[in-house]
Amino acid sequence: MTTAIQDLIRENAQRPVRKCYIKRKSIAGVYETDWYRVDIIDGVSQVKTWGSVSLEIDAEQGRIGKFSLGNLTMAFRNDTGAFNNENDARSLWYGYLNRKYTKLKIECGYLDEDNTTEVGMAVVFEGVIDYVKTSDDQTASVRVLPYTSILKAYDISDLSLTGKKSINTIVNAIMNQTKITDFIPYVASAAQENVDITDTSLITGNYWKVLTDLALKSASIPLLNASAWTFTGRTASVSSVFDFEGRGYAANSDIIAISSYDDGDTKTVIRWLVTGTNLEAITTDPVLLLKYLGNTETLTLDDVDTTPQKQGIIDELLALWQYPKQVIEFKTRFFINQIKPTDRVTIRIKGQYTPENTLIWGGNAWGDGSVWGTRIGSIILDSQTPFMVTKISKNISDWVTQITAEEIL
Amino acid sequence: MSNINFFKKNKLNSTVTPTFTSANTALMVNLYDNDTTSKLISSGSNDATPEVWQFDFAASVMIDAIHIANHNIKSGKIEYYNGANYVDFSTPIAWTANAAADNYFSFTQISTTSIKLTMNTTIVTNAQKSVGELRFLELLGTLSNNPSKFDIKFIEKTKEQVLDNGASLSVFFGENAEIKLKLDQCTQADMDILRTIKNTRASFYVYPNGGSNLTALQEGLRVRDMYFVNWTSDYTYKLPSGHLTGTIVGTDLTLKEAV
Repeated sequence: MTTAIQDLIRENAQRPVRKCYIKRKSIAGVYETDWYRVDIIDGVSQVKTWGSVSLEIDAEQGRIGKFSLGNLTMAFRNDTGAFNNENDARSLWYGYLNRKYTKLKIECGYLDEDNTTEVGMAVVFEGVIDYVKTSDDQTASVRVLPYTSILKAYDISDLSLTGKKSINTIVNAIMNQTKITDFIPYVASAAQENVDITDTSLITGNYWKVLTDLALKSASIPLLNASAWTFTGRTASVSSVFDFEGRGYAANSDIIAISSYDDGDTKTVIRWLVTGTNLEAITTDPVLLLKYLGNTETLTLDDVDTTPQKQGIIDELLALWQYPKQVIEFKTRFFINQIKPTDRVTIRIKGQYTPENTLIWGGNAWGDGSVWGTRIGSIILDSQTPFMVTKISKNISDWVTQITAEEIL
Repeated sequence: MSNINFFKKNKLNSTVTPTFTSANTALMVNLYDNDTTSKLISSGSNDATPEVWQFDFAASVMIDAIHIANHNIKSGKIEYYNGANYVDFSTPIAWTANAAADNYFSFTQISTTSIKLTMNTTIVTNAQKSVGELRFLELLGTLSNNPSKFDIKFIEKTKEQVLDNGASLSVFFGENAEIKLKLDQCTQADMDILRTIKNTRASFYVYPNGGSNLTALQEGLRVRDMYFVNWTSDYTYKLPSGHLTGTIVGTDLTLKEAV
């Protein structure tokens, strides 16, 4: 993150920039070349509400690595009929194919101090229109699906896969097709555990279901951020993208409110089993065994080729989940697209000392007349504790971000 | 004549085809985005190199006035295409030693398919030519008397958050003008203008300055200040007290910026 963007994010008087664009399909079904701006048309604003969008890994309770990318619903003024269907001569789609599957993207950024330069402009959401609902209150409600909807539209059977193939090969076969790269630029897969699937002809489901299944089996994450795609391990970035300073550490706090805090029990799993086998990965830490006896997850890995590969998967999952990790959810400033799931961040929040003007135990020599006080507050993160972002919700309307992050041990 | 003018929406819009000497045609939108601070700027120009901006309309348009705001033109001109050549308006628009950043020009109504803006020199020598807003306007009407009351406020759309240390985080999305006019001396002709505006149920420009008051300094009344608005109050009028009929009536308007 550049200093310029960081400084603007940390300003307490902010001037957001928000732009919405569409790409329509011609009568022949070909997308227009250039994006067409629709949040302001001929100098008149069109947007009533911008909506919010969320991205999350571990979205399904009890299911590790289930990536989820939410829909976006926007509301536009429609007193001019601009959002009516293609048969209306006033419509933006007049002369084009139809509204469904029109591409839509939102770019956001900040105006600098001089109110003249846009800084950090980036795509925070991109997808396709699912439907447009018009109403008598002269508005059009536009629901937009992320590009995962394109992956859900095709069945794996159309690839006619056969034989043994590695997970990377299967993922690449799905993602490196024109009907997919028309929406999501191709990036080669780099699965954490690139195991082999014995008989790929037995794989069923739509592309997205297959990708999430393969992610679980390879301890990976299928991450789609706007149109940026990666299939990589569930590991945090090497360096911190942002250092959150909460109450007590900086004159200018980054945190609006902490929504929830879990000191680590919720996601701990100390034993992994593979159905139909005697394969097991179990913690060797006796304290964890005492604390979390019974926290077991079971995987079905029938299609993974070899026993060592199956063992490798559950060993990797045990390493990820055996120790309790703090999980914190908080509301903060709007980060455009500067933070995404798997990014490393640090967070520190200081509790209040009481009584005031005191020192904590061990701060000074005994007998020097200091008064010993104590810290209060249920959530205290003393040092710059490293966390990995697992969920981010971007509220484009209110210009705030909700982040969920788990501790990096 | 009184100050206040009303105009239809800008004839300069996304349907117009631009031809510019050096300015980026993709940024023509800066001229009609109702934001005088976003400018269209030439590139590589100087006082020896005229910058010419030609605007070709998709079909003939009627124009009575031109409003040009936040510009730096010292010498230059604006002409319209009469079907054969680019010619002057009935009152020629020509700058020779201009020092004003905002201008309003009115003339006998013309119908044209093209307008050309020629910029020769800039107020600061050899600067890039720039214009913040350019409006080609068709008059809806001019009131015959000034309002007795002109109230303007700029309503902010702001989201306030409180940080966990109690500090304020203020997010400013924009501000829009709300104008309240009290008109006590409306003739029937004035009421006909207002009724026509109300019946179109469309946004329109209100120009409180009217173009003739070059010394007004208050925001809302300056030469620069033209607002694209919706008339949000009801159409109504009052006869003077004690009269059942009369030629002069009073009315109130609430206008809210529609950008």
